[in-house]
Formats: sequence, structure tokens, C-alpha cells
Amino acid sequence: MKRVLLTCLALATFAAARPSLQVDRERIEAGQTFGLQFVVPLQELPANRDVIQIETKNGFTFMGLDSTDQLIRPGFEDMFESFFGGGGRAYKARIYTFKVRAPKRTGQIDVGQIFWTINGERQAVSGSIPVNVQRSYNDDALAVSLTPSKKSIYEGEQFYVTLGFHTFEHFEGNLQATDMNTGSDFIVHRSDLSNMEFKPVEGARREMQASAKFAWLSPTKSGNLQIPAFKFKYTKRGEPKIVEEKKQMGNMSFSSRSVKQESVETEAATPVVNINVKPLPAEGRPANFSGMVGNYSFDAQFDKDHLKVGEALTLSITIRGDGTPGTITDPKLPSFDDFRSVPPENSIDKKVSGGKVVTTKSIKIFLYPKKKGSFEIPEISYSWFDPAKRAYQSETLGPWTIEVEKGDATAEAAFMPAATRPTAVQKQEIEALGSDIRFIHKVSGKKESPTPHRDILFWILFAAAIPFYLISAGIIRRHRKHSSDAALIRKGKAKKMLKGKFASAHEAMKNGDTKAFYAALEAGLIDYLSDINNLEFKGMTRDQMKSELGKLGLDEGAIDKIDKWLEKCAFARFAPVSTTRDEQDAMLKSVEELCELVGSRK
Amino acid sequence: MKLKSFLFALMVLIGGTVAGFAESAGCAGIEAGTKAYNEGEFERAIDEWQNCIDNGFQNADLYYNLGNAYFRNGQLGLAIYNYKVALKLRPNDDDFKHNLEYAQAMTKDKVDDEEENPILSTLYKAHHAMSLKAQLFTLLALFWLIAVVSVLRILVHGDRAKNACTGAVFIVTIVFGIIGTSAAYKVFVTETEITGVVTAKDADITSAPNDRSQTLNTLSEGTSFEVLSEQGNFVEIRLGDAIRGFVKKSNVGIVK
Repeated sequence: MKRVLLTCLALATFAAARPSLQVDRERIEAGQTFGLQFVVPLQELPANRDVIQIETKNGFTFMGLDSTDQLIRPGFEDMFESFFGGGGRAYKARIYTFKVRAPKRTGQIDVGQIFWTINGERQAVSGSIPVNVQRSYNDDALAVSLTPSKKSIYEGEQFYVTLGFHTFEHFEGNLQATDMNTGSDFIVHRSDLSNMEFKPVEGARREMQASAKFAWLSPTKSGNLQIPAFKFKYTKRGEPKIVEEKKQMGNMSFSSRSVKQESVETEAATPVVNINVKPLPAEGRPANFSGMVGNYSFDAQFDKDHLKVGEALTLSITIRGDGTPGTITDPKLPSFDDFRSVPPENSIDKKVSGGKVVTTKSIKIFLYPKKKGSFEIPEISYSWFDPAKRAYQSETLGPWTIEVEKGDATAEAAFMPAATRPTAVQKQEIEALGSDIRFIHKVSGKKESPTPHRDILFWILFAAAIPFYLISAGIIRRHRKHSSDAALIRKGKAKKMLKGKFASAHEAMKNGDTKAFYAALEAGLIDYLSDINNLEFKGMTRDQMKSELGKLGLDEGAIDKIDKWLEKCAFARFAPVSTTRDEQDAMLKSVEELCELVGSRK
Repeated sequence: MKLKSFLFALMVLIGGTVAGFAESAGCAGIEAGTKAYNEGEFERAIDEWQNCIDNGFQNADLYYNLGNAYFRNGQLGLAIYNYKVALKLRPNDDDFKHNLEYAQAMTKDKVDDEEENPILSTLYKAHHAMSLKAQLFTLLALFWLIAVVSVLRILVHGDRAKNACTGAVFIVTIVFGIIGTSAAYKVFVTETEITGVVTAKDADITSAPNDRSQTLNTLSEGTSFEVLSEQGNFVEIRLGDAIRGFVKKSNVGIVK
């Protein structure tokens, strides 16, 4: 902004003379000195005037006054007005330059008011003079702050820090945290800053700000502790630089000047925060002080006060408070000598509620009564220091009376004195309830081998099935082939054998032994059939023979002829008939023909 | 005669193998440990049973009992480790599973289980219906059955008998394939997926396998994780999708 016009000029005297106010630079930067020029035409200067003065406010500081006379040439607007009948000529004027240093803060700020003493009377010659103060390009474009909710606290007490961001006009972005370590003197719960919302700053151009509760801390020791500076990096627009460029076009050279602003990566850091941590008072400290500092609540209760031996009793303890985030020490518990217990179940939860991190610890203790009876469980206390009341607080619950009745037979037996019952049974029964681990196993004396897939012997045994199949198949086929070869040999020798039998028949015929003749015929026929079919017919009944011959494919006629001959031979052997030699010759010939017929059909 | 000799040799081989897999060797500390456990002397029970294991006595029940003794002694990590080893040897034992789940419920660090799919759940149950050892011996028996029926098919004469043998071989082969697939997957898992348990009170996960590297996370006792590799005195581990790094071997037990 080259010129800041006054919204009104107080004096009508100066209205016609057109006095004006302007600043001597385009940009007023925070903390820098600038010139506020009050221009008055010479002919309009009051005669009985004294020294012109400025009364600054809002952090502006008057540094000095210069005055000079200058010829003022009309601007474009003045020329426009003269064209349409107004003034517009050059004139001489006195320029009063007030050297004013701008405050550190930025935004649209009122500089103050100009006064003149005329005829001994002090008169205001200007109204308010609002100017826009901006950050210097050399200054940080980001201001970060870390504000603790308390600067003096007790050891272990919780407080929070608010992280604030203020971005200025020349802030460009790429904001990244490079170090947000809170040191080793605090236990910290950090919040998620991803939803932090930046809002425009009222009355400031292109400035944004955001703030959020960043972390809840609890000091681990007393003394003067420090939260180290949090460091961030970002990019800002640098100072404008005039860049001169020369260009050559043929024989002509051109020179041009331009203003350039480059992006600069910069770091910003919060100031180191000092916290005074007071030790907890020794006076009034309970013997069972838990070490927790804050506003706490304590609750302890049993789920039942009547149960049977073998049943489980649950003691539920809940401690809730806004002390050290995420940490709650356990209360001192009485010894449960009359009960058996398993490891307790602990759970801890923390959440932000009412601007504080509230931590809740739940402890569940499972107890199994060892015997029947009435048992008193002593009171349980929990104490803490309340910084708001500056006093130690304590909560005591109990005592409780637990009535244990007889359980079932086995459970009852389990809780008999150790002298009369083996301890093993007790534990086994307890573990059989289902809310505990199961009982040990009896270990056999056998060493358990791992899975056999890594054992070469297993795979050898596996693969042995293949040679078994191949060898078995080979042996069977060879046996069959051998049998087949024996059948061929037998078939080949069938006729020879038949001739031998017929020779025996001839011999019997020659000797007149009819019985031997028929026996030789029958044997010859059966042996011949056996040889050519490689099937033993000897010993078969005639019906079996007929059936087998049928299966072998011999036709019905031939089978009937064979059957008739065999019947005839059998009859003749057991009831001999007298036949002539010619008849026997014919019979022999007929059997020979039958054998040839059967042989030719095979 | 030759076939008889071959079959005899085969029987001797099978007998030897089965006897080899069921090797028998006792350990005097078993009974002493049981007595100590029953008397509530858990540390003594641990000493006795651990001694048996250190001397090479591998038994699922012994690991389970040792896990119980560690649990009773308040050493949750070592209890979980021993339950896991017991389950590796005998995956279908209900007591092993119950005690492991019970102990794991007491650990501080947990990775949420994925939602159960009913179909996958059924397949998972079928897959684990038999232990790997039982599956491998069943496969061996089935393979031999296929070989024997194939031989029988050559021996029989009638077409009907031959078809019956072919059908039997076909069915047995399908069964063999199903069990074989399941067993092969189990062998793959056994050989590739190694788990571990934090046995110390807590174990730091570091970014590199040395003492100078940055601590990324801390696991509490009893937390189970997947073992990716072993590098010197460190083990590279993964827990869920988020946690990956190195832990000291001395702080963990690796279930092999």
C-alpha cells in the first residue's frame, strides 16, 4: 500500500488545501522504523503555528520529526479532475515526516493522532491513523508457543501443555516437527495433533493460528525441571530481491529487472518451559501411601460372601484418578492364607476426560477357599495426595466376612487336611473346575519321536511299495508264462502219448485181455484230452468232464461222442463183454478218429 | 519261494521302522517331578522335568507338565513355550490347547484374532482331525494297500474281480490324495513357520541385531510371535502387521 489516506481530516481550514497523510514505504514491518508523512501545501500553512506533534499508541514509538519543502506534481487522479474543471496544477508543499517505530505485533493497528498548536491552541489535525503492520521477511513466518497449565506443581501431579502455532503472511507450509521430546523428567501422555484446526487471525492479513492441548505430563522428581524446546521446520517466502537479467537478440541487448522471492526452509522452536516441582509434604503422609498424586477414587468388593468349597470367589478392585497418566500403583493386599489363588487379572485404561487424562486400573483376584468355615478378610486401604486440597487422602474398604460351606463329595475330600489326603488330589480337583489350568498328565516311559517325515527309513519304507508291486507283478507274469510253456509241450507230446496208449491197447487185444483193452482206450482218451487242454480230467466225474469240455469250447457232438465212449469203456471194464478182434480193431480206429477230431478242433 | 522271501524281508523292514518310531527310554526324573509338583514344590518339579528334557527325553506330556509347573511358579513365558512345544508334538490334545489358551489370556500384549469364517473353520478342524504323524503312517498304509490291490488285480482271473480291484485302487488313491495334501501342508507349515515366546519379564525389539540399535518396542512375558530368522544372538521376529524387529535369543524361547 503506497498511500494511506486519512478517513477524515478534522479541520475544515485544511480541507480546501488538500493536506494528506502517507507512509514512505510499501510495507510496514514489525519492529522497524518507518516514515509517516504529513503533506501540507505551503500556501495553506497556518500563520501562527507551533511545532507539529504526533501522539502514538498501540506500541508505536515516535523516533523523530523531519520537514522538507517539495514541489508536488499532480497524480493521475488530479489530472482527471483538472480535465473536468478542477484544480490539478503542481504546487509546493511542506512534508513533515514522523519517524515511527512499529510494534512487534502485526495486523491493522492505529498509529495514533497528529496535533498542531495554532494560535496557542492545540488542535487535532488527523483522526486515527490505521496502518497494516506485517512481519519482516527476515523474521520467522511461524511462531510456536508451549504454555503449561501450571508452573508450580507437586511431584507426581498432572498438568498439561498447550501447543500454539501462529503463521504469518510469508509462511508457505511444509510444517514438520523435528523434535518434540519432553525429556526424561516427566511421564507423558500425548494427544493426536492431526485434527488441529488453523483459523484466520482477526484483523491480520493472511495470518492463521491454532492451538491444542498437546501433552499431559507428570514429573517424576522434584526441583526446577525443564521441558526442552520443541523444534519444527517449515518453508517461508524469503526477502524480495531485485534480479537483473540481460538478453541478447541479434546485435541488440536488453536488460530487465524483476523482483523475485525464493522459498526458504526455516526452523522454529518453542521457548524452554520451566516448571517448579515441589516435593510432597512429609507431614501427614500415611504409612501405606501409594505414591499417586491427584484426585482418586478407590473401590474394592467381592462378588459373593457365601460360597461352597471348590467355587471361586472374585475380589474386584478399581482405582481411578487423574495423577500420573497410564500408571496406578497396586494397593497393599492382605494375605489370603485360607484361599488358593491364581495370578490376578490386571487391566489399565486411560482416556482424556474433562481436560485431564484419567487412568483406571481394574484388578481381579480369584480365590478358592481351602476349607469350609467363616473367614474374615481384613480391610484394604488406598491413599493418595490430593494437590487441590494439599492433603493426603485415604479410602478404606472392608473387612469382609466370607462364609464357605461344604462342597460336593470330591471337592470336600480335596480339602481335608494334608495328613489324611494326598495334596495331589486337592490340586487336581481345583484344576478341574475349568477356571484354571488343567492338571498334569501321567508321562509314559516312552520317548515320543517327532513326526517321521524327516526319517529316511520312513521314506524307504514308503518307496518299497513300488518295487514290491513291480517284483510281484514280474513273478506272477513269469509264472504264468512258464505255465503256458508247459501246456504247449504237453500238447505237443499228446499224440505221442496217445500212440503209446493205443500200443498198450493193441497188446491187450493181442493177448485177448478185453478188460485191459478197454482200460487202455479209456486212459488214452482221457490223457489225450488232458494233454491237449492242459487240464487234468482224471478223477473228474463224466458230468464234470462234459462241463469242462463245454467251457473249453468243444462242440456238443464231440462231447457226446467222448461221453459215450467213456461210458462204453467203463461198462466194459466192470461188466466185460466178449468182442471179436475185428470189433476191437474197429473200436480202436473209431477212438483214434475221435481223438483226431478233438485235436483238430483245439 | 522268491515272493515269500521278498515278503519276509519287507515285514522285517516294516517291523524295524515301527519299532524305531516307538523308541522306548525312561527318565528317573519324571516320577520325582510329579511328586514334587503334587507337593507344591514347583521349582523342584521344574528342575526334575527340565533335566529329563535336557537329556533328550522328548515327550509331549512331559512338556505339558513342565508348562504347568512353570505356570504355577509364575513364569508365564516359559509355561506358554512348553505348552507350544507339547502341542507341536501332539497337536490334538485338548488339555494342551486349554492350558495354552488359559496362559495366553494372561499375557499383556495380544494380537487380535481374525474373525472366524465358518467354512475355513470346518476345513481347519478337518485338517487337524489327525496329527501329522498319524497322517504320515496312514499314507504309508494306503500306499501299500494300493500296491497290494494292484498285485491282486493281476492275480485274479474274472473281469468282475479285476473291476472291483480297479475301483478299490481308485477310491484309495482319492483318500490318499486328500490326506497327502493335508499332510504336505502341515509339513510345509512345520518347516517354514517357526514361532517363539517371550520367556523373560520383557524383551526389547530393536531395529538391528545388536545392542547399540534403537529400541522400537517392548514385548511382555508370554507374548507369542513369528520367527523369521536367527542372526547370531538375536532372532528376527514379526508380531502382527505392525511390529517387526530383533530380540535377544536369551529373552525368548523358539518352538522348533
